[in-house]
Amino acid sequence: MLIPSGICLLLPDTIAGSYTRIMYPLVLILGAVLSMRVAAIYKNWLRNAFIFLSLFLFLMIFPHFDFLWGFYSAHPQLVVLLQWITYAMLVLCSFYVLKVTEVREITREGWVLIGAAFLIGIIILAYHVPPLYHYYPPAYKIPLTLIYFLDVVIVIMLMPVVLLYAQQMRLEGRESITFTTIISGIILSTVAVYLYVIVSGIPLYAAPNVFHTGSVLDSLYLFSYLLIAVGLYVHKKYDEWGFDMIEQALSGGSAET
Amino acid sequence: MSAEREVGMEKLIDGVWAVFLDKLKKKDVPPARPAFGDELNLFVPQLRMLLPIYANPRFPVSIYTSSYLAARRNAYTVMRKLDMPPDFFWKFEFWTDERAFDVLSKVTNRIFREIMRTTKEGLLSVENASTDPEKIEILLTLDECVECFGIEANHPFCYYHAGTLTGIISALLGKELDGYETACCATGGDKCEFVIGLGRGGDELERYLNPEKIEFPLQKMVENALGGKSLRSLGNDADLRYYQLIILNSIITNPKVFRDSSYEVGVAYGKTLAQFLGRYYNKSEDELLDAISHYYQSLKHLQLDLNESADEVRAAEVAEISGLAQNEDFLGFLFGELEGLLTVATKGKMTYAGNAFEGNELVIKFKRQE
Repeated sequence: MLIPSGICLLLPDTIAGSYTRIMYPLVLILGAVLSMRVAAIYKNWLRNAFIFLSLFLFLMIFPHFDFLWGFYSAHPQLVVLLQWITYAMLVLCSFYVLKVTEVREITREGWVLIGAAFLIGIIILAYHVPPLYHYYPPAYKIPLTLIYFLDVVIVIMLMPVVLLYAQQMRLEGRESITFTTIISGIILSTVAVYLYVIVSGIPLYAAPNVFHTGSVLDSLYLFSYLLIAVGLYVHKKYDEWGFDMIEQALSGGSAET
Repeated sequence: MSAEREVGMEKLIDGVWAVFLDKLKKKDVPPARPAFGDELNLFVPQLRMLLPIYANPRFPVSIYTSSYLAARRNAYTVMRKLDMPPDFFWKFEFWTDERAFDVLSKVTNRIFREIMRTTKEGLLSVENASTDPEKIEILLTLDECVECFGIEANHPFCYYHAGTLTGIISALLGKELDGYETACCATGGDKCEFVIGLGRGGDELERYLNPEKIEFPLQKMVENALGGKSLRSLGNDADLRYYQLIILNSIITNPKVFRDSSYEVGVAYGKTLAQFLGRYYNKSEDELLDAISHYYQSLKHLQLDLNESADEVRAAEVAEISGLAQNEDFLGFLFGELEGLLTVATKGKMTYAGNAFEGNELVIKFKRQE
């Protein structure tokens, strides 16, 4: 995951642009297909979570098609609509993830962390979003501001999964490592742009200019999508590989004696 | 009972499970007894389940609970020692029924069916698995169940296996589940059938664990055991360690009370058995001592050496303690049983007067009451 995402940092700008233009849709479509396949092994809320994740990943492909950019410029209201639909998929995915998460088991420290993340998110938004108003047409100010706000909401909704895993790692480790990887990928994809603007000092309105240039932001996004895709692949294969491990241990191939 | 003693018992139980795992991994496990080996007639453990159930209405709850806890603890250890990821059954309640059935069958067959086949407890199968966030239901069957095979009774009574299988599935899924028996070979079923699940239990579990008086034909059972007719494809024997688990799980909650109550049950049984053996071997009371030795020998229970006055019994290869621990708490029933047998055989009231271990031999003293 580190190599394909880090490689764009090393490539010359022109090649790096092409590389990211190919890699983004490729990894996203792979993730969408895998998520649908994972959905097929579950039912109820967990199936819904993976279906909406798949739709989110699929819809995320469209902003990466250069040939559609002319169309986007001509119909900005459709871009906002597409963004809203895409985010709606992620919010629905997070909603179902939250429904299957045993939030009652989160410790007090965990809740403090969630509260802190919420506060930090709001502070970042309050600091970075108002300057964007100069660039938005008046009709899009509210819908686009809400999308940034949704970033915080999604992170808050998904944090319990990571916290529970961290908590249980010290105990029986019953929480899924692969699911936590997928969720970490989603969280990273949501916060990548904020991390980038905070660390680089570039204002939020200028961040889209570095897409498809082989920037650190490209690398971060690519890494987060790869994290999701690899997590989904291993999640799908877990039954088979887990059983192989038992077979290996029984045939004396394990270190455990 | 002190927590220390309970921990000691738990360690012994865990030790027995560790041997099961070693056998599963095809490691060399030395036999617990040099002459009889690791097997004994399944009648012996059957009797040790049935008589306490008959005598004590709380026994089913006690054996179910302790075997559940022991199996849950040890099945988890087995999983970890076999490198099974702890999150293998993550969110099982959201799995599709097909996946739940396939994966659970595969794991159960590879590990626990194999263990139970090796110990001759029966042939375990997962028959069905249905999942739901509110309700999980898993149907297991145990063919040729060692606990009840060949017995006719008026109520299912495989409490040890109900507890053990529920404990195993609970460990696998990482959930507190309930389980009870819905069909039993003893009540006319082809196989023993156990329903294990989340949100199950309730009244059915309550009814199962609190049966009315269980009736069973004891004489026919002894006759079948001594007749040696093969009843199961797995044979008429059971693993010695399975028998030891039955005893350990029976006594863990209160060894002293269990030893004393087993002793009393043993005395009554010994007297009935002496009369039966006289008829079965066509021996007069004077000749019964030989029949008693032969009885224990043929069941591979233990080797007995009785002196003429019958005030001292030397026992070797005693199934209850071989390879386990020289602990007299496990032997209350045997002391009582011998007292009952000797009372009839000597036509005088014999009373258990103590025991001592001399190397691998158990010396049991009796005194005649005037």
